[in-house]
Amino acid sequence: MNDIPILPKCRSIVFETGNILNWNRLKKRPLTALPASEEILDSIRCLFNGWLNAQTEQHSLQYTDQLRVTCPVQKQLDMAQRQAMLDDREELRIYIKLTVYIDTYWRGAVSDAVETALASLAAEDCDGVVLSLVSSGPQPPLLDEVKPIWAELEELRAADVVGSLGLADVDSDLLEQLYDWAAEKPSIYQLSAQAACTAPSRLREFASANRLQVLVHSDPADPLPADRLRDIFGGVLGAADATGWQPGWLARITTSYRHRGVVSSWGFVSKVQRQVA
Amino acid sequence: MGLLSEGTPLSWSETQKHSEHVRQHGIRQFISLYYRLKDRTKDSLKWGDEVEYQLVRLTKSAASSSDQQQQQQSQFASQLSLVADQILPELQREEIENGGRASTLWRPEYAAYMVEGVPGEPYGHLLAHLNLVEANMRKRRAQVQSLLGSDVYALTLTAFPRLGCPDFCYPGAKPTPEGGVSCSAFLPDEVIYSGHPRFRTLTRNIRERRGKKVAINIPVYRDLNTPDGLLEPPTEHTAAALPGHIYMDAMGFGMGCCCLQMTFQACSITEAYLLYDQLTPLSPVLLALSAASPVHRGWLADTDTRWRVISGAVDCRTDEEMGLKPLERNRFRIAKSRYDSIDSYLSADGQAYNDIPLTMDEDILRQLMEAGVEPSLSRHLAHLFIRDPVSLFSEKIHQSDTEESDHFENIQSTNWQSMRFKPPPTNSTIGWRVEFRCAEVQLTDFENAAYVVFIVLLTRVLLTLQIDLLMPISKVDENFNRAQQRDAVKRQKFFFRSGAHLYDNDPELVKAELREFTLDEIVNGCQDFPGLVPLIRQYLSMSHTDVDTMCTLNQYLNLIQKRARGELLTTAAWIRKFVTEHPVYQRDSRCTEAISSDLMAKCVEITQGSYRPDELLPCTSSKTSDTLPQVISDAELYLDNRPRRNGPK
Repeated sequence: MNDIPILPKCRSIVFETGNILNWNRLKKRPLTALPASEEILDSIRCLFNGWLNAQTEQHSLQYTDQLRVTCPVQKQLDMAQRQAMLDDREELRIYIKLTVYIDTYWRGAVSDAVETALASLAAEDCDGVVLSLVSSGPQPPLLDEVKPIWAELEELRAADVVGSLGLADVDSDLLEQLYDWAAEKPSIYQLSAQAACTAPSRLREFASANRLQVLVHSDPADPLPADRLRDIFGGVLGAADATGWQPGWLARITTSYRHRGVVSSWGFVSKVQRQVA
Repeated sequence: MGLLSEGTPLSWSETQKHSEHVRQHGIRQFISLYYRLKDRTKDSLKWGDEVEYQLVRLTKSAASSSDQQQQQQSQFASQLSLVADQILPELQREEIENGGRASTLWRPEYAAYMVEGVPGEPYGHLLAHLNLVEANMRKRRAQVQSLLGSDVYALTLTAFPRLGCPDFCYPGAKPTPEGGVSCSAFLPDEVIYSGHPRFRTLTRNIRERRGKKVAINIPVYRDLNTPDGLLEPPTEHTAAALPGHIYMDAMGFGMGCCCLQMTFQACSITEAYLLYDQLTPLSPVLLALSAASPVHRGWLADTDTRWRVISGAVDCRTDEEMGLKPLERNRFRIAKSRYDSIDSYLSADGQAYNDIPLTMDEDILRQLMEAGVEPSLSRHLAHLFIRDPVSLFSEKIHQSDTEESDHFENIQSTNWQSMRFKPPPTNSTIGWRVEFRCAEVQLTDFENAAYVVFIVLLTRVLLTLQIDLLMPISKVDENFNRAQQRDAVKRQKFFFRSGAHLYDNDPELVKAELREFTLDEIVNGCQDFPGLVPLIRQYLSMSHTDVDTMCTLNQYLNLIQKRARGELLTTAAWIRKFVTEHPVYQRDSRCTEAISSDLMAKCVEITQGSYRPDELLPCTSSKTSDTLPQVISDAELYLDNRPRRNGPK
């Protein structure tokens, strides 16, 4: 640990895990039962450590403005999957669960996230994006906060980059307002798996009347809390590099084989940012 | 159910003459199939279950209640109802009228008191399909039930406790130890389904091949007043009875048990090998978890499953083959009965774990290898084909090697193993399949659906996470022995790969570090193993599950977890408890007519949902449904056909 920052000018980092299912196979890591909330943070920590260890020299990092941290170990396995994607896109289903932080949202963030996610798979389109929102305070997101975010998704949908749209965890009021306003309506609503047996009837009736699939997820509400991010940076790089980091977006990506119920890859890409003097 | 060709069955001596013919042409038929179909890929996940039912007649006893108390009788009388041949034509009517299509399909089984039902269409690949299983099972049960008289019930009971006891069947019938088909001291031939000659033919031929009737001896549960030595006074027809054992002497004792089976279609032959292999170490786990048959022929056994009973019931091996006499007329020493656990893995990686000697027909092995069939599959088939055909129809002797497959199916379907590797049938769109055969059937549709769904989810987990559970086959066999023991869930430990080695491909290391775990640890996890249910939950978190299906899956996984933990009893443990705590039980291991009838009455109530023992079943129910939600099937259709950026490649 030293007091000289390793990445003093860095304002934006994209973490790209590749296929986490491959990590386990390659590292022969015994499957652990990490709670979902820890899994994303733990993966970022592993990725970051791995990346740092692979840097042969650190001097040029002093000037780095943007960084892409990927997994150095598993390129070959991932290459094979990328080839399969090109050859056999018809056989695969790609879903993205996109978490957007309302506080740090900027126009273009959604496209940025989706395109980054697709590029990480060598894919040109995906079959669905489900949007999850993290507000700053205790109050739930407002329709006006969601509109620009949803508008970006509608553009992607219109261009057939995304096959279907969904929303996660919003309350019935917001769901119904958004549904009313949107040009491209959501076809999926996701709620937490714990609530599966007790889904409120207002939601179920709305879904039924409007042909919404109601699906479940086991994702934490806030997968990248800022304080935990700063802990990770502090742990991997040092205290001098830890300040100011905020989550931008997180795209969880699942690829499955069509008609077989077998998941072929699972991982995520995520962008974190900060202001720098 | 096995192969139901039409026609005239040959006698045993005639069948035996054609033995080599059947084997030789069976292998050629396989080779022809193999060549046409070995490169099939992209078959979708389809799968199905098979549920077997026993038809039980339950009537109110004629005796007055004071008589009942005095003579330790029940207010009920129960028998097996031999009406399968009467109701099957009606059950099959929809299928026959619609050219083979119906929402449920029915087949006869060995016994005249048994029927088997399967879903009309296989289930598909969506998680939402898992929510259809229980509803389809309920429909099947309701269908059978609607055809039965007011006193007769379709029970998914693994073993009728007093099969082979006096007055156990209705209409009544007498055993004929001196002649007939079974020559049993206990089971009349009327018990065998007579609507098709296959079952009687198998019974007679197995007995004649063997040279004497089958001998099944299951250790009795020793209680305070259990008779020492032979359980019953010896007679000329029970000479093969062992002291301290429940003796049974007919195929019906085994094949008259019900079970729960599943078949999966793999996307390719390689995936089929992988599923076959990876499900193998799980077989003893499922056997122990589903154990449901602790009582046979009116005696409480020291085992909880049907496995050894059926193994003995169809054991066609002669004394020479069993190693009791030197080999003269027979070719091989054969270690196991035709019904038993598998003897070899099929995948390339699995070969390192094949550590039991495999008896093979060398000529058949050579033919398969020369034809280019993979060595592991060649060895597997050369081992299956050491067996003689035990049923042959005169019209089916001469067959095409390329257009037909009855000779192959003849040998294949009379090797009754814990797993079955099934090639695609001729002239169909069906792919390579794997059949999972060990699970015992439970009393309720909820439980049966739960066990089926548990196994289907495990197959998805195995293919997604690509973990490796393989261990030496000898250890799987050891696990099989342990899985059958009384209260295996609570009292036994099982060999299993530890968590640290789930991705290991060093067989020596794996063998050296194989550990023994309790079922609770295997299913729910521990320090050294993540647990089958936690692994399933990990898979589910990566998949699209709709809310009703998730609710149902939660209920099913909850049941499995509690059974593994011992918080809920297995069906066997519950039956055992019922018998030993019955007011009339004399601590002599006997399940008398009174106890058995009271037990059957309770089983009927449990099946109908009017009684729920909370030590056996949880109090929640699933959200199973008859059909896929329209939004889900629409979404699938949309995704299959939607336009893509830059168009489909």
